[in-house]
Amino acid sequence: MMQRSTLTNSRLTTWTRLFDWVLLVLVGCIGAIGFLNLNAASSILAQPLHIMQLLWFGVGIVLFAIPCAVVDYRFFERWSYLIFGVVGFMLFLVLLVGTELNGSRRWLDIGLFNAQPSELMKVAVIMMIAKYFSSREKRGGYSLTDLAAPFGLIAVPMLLILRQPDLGTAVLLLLLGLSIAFFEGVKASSVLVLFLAAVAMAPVAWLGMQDYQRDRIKTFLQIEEDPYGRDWQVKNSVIAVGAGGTWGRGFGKGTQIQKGFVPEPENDFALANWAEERGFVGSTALLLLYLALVAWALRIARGARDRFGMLMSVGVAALIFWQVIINVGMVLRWMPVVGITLPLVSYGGSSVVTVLVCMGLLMNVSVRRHVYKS
Amino acid sequence: MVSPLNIARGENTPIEGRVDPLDYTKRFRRAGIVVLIPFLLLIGRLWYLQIWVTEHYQQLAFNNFIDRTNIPAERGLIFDSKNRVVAANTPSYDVTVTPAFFAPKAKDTAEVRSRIDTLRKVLALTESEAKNLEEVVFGSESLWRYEDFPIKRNITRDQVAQIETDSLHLVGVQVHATSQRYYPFNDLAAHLIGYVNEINAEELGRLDVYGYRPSEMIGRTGIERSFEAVLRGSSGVGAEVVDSRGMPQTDAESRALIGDWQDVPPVPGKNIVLTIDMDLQRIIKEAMRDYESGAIVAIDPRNGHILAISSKPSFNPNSWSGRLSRDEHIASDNDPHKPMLDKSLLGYFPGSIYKIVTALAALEAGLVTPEETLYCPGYYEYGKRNKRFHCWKRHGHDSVALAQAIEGSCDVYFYKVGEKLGMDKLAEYAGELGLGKRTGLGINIESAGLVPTKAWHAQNSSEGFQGGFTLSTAIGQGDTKVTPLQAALAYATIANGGTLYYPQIVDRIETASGQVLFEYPDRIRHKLNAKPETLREIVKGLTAVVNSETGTAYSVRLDYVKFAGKTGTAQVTSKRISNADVEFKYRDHAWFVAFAPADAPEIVIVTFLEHGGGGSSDAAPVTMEILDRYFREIRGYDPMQLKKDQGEPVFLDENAASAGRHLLSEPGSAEPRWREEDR
Repeated sequence: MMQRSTLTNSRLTTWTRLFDWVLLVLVGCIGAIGFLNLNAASSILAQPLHIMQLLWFGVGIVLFAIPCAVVDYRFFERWSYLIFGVVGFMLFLVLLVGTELNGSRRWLDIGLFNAQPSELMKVAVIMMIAKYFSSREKRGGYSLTDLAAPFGLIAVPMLLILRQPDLGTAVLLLLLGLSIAFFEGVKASSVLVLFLAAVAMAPVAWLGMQDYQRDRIKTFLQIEEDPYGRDWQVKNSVIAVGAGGTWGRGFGKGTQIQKGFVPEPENDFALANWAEERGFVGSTALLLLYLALVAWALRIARGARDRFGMLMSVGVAALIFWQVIINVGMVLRWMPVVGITLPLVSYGGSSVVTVLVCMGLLMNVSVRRHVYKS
Repeated sequence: MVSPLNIARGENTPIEGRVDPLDYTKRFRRAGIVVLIPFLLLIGRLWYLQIWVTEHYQQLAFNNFIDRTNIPAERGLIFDSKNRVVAANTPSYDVTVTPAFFAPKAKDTAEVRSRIDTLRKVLALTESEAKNLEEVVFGSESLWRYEDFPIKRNITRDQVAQIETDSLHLVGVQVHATSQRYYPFNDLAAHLIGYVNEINAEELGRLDVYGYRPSEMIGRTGIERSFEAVLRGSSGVGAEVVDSRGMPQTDAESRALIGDWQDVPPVPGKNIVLTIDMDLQRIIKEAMRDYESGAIVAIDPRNGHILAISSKPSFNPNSWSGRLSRDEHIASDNDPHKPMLDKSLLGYFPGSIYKIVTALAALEAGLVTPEETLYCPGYYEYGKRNKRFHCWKRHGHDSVALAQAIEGSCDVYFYKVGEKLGMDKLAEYAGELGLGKRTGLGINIESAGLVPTKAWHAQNSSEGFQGGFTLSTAIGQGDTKVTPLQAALAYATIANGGTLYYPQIVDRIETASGQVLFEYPDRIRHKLNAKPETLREIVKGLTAVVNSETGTAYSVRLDYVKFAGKTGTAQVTSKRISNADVEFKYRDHAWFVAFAPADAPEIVIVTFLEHGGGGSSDAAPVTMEILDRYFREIRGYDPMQLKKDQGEPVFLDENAASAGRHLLSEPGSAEPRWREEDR
């Protein structure tokens, strides 16, 4: 009895001593910005989404982030292929019985709410790839044969997600896998072959795309007129950002958002809202927070106790990095609109939960960096 | 190199399974740089957008939520000579529908159905209007679905109230208060005043430089068309705050966004004061009640001012100003009497009213003296084959001098002088009186009429010029064509002692506040090259037409004002058949030209009844009624008093003058004194 209590006590002490306050503060700051931003956008939305978002944060932290932080991450390491398989199966179910919205079939109705398995797949891919490479370290980089198996595995959820269709998430899965692989190192010759293969595959990919996806890319490249006003929306997003000026137009005073010129100000175009209201100062601050978060994730990876922890943290860093870069690039009209959310700022339960799961995993790795004893 | 992320520095924690710790340090440093560069690029982009070119984007954002609205200018008013408004503006409530809100995605749902049904009921839409509504709602191109489409114009205040009460249900339905052209006198002088309607797409493109906007009204005929630039004014520019769908935002915070924007006020159009008198127009309309088609023109011979100008059948410009139903349009197009044509400006065979041309030419050319008589046996044998040209009076006029020839409208007299004058001499004097050329009224489509010459016949007649043509022309038959307005101006020239005026329809132009901007001076077109005695002799003959017992219009004389005139009955076909049993379009044209008082003329009236019968049996009584009412109702003459003053015996109630009126009220019941076929 005594012994057990001491053990618990010592674990608690360990937690408080090693707890990653920086990570918590970064996540808290970004989350708070997201809340404020949704609050401002709520005036033109049908529902008080900022309250809903707060709810998702609560659910995400209690039910997902804390368990993901507390349970030894080697548990996830052990089961990562299974997790990948289960989430993959969910994606398969989505195609069969998923809920359709705006022409895409992305959601699984699980009673209380609609879950988006493609979001969870991001975590599953990170774990799967981390697990695969953690035991296959190779000096001088991986060759194509080394990469074939993991990317063959990634190809399965990618294809399932492309069928939904959701080009953005599918591409993101590939980017996550590539990020970890390139972090580990890939042979120069293999890089060349991959590059040539990508160039060769481009026309095939183009033909395989959905019409609306092709339209988006065409309008982005300004090859053709804008048939559905999508480019008009993105241009308005840029106007919103530019009109923000140095200090922004003030809370709830951005006309581009408040008068409905920018589409989805709660979701994909959340940054346009923030940038219009808070200006260069506010938007740069947000980008720096993301940069700090990515850097901190890399720092955690650097300090991780084992290769799986390290690669998983690199994967999480890559996830945050790519989502921020793609989303902001989209809002600033440097990239086509592909439906990638801004982590912790865009509205959406699955998106918030996924990022919080990642944050839990980072905390997990961070706390166990020195004194892990099983 | 100092890593920007400071990852590798101070870290010495051993990692399980690491082959080369230094290699990891390198990897993390590389990863840090790979992460940093895109972030810096994005921040650079933010700096560019939000600091470097922010004014540009602030302007774009301003342009987004500010909608420049058009403040329409009030169209100028049109007045008659007694300052009564003949073309006004009234507020009109028009209903429009925005398809994108009314039926999102053009889907025919139960809700949309119920909206359509409500509109049909409240607005009492006709079948075609309801069809138009459905076409707009479901059939509009996606690009246009955010535009407002007119559904019904000029609804009642009750209907406005009903739509506003139901506004939560009637999404996308709006009521706009606009200014609508209103013509209080309806079809009176409609051809002259004209009408307006909505500008069409082709004109919008063509008249782009004038800044016309969609749904703006533009003058179509008459004064409304010819004086479009004067009446139109220029619209102002306002501003309102809108959302991305173009819906106006009226809350205080939104309105504050307008900032220091100042509206540019519209400049109203100029008012036009006409020379016409709507009282006379009404009298004319009433006098023409028994005739289906024709034109009457009244002018002041002293200055060429048009006192009244009327074409029958007329149309209601209120209907034509954008409220015309399809059925009405088709009915108008199919009407054999062509209500949209301004007949006062179209050329017709003149018949005997043309004889003043021959008379003028004969006297001026010195072919006859006023006293010289010519014998009329009832016909004239012309040419080698002795072709007989008949006089309308079969048993002849006996010996007549010029004035008597006019009085009795003796064809033979004019055949004889016409033959001597020749075709081209006749044409020359017709030209002296302004015939054969446009009068320059500048309103509606004006015909030049036709004064044939030898050369014209050589070109246009199948067998070339024939001598007989001259004879026909001398009595106003053949190919000669004269417009009622030309006839009025020609007779005015005779009546006023030889001055041919340009016709004047607009007296002056005023600003909206009544300040006179421009007064049109009288304009003389031509001084007649004729001796005063000549004109006096012709006037003598014209006076006798009405006032001599043997005159062709003796039955229509007025006992208190002496007027002069000339009858004309123009054959439109060579078939000699009586009017009664002939198809309308082959009936004769009836003309009567009068001026009064005969010794000091102040009004010239031309009555032209298209296929209306005879000059003295039909046109003269109509003219007499107009003159009678003109002097009594407009000029305020008291016939009883005048007759006493003149020391003449006061006639009984059934005096001679009323014979004409009797004829008018019950055509055919009374035996007209002159049942002739004067031609």
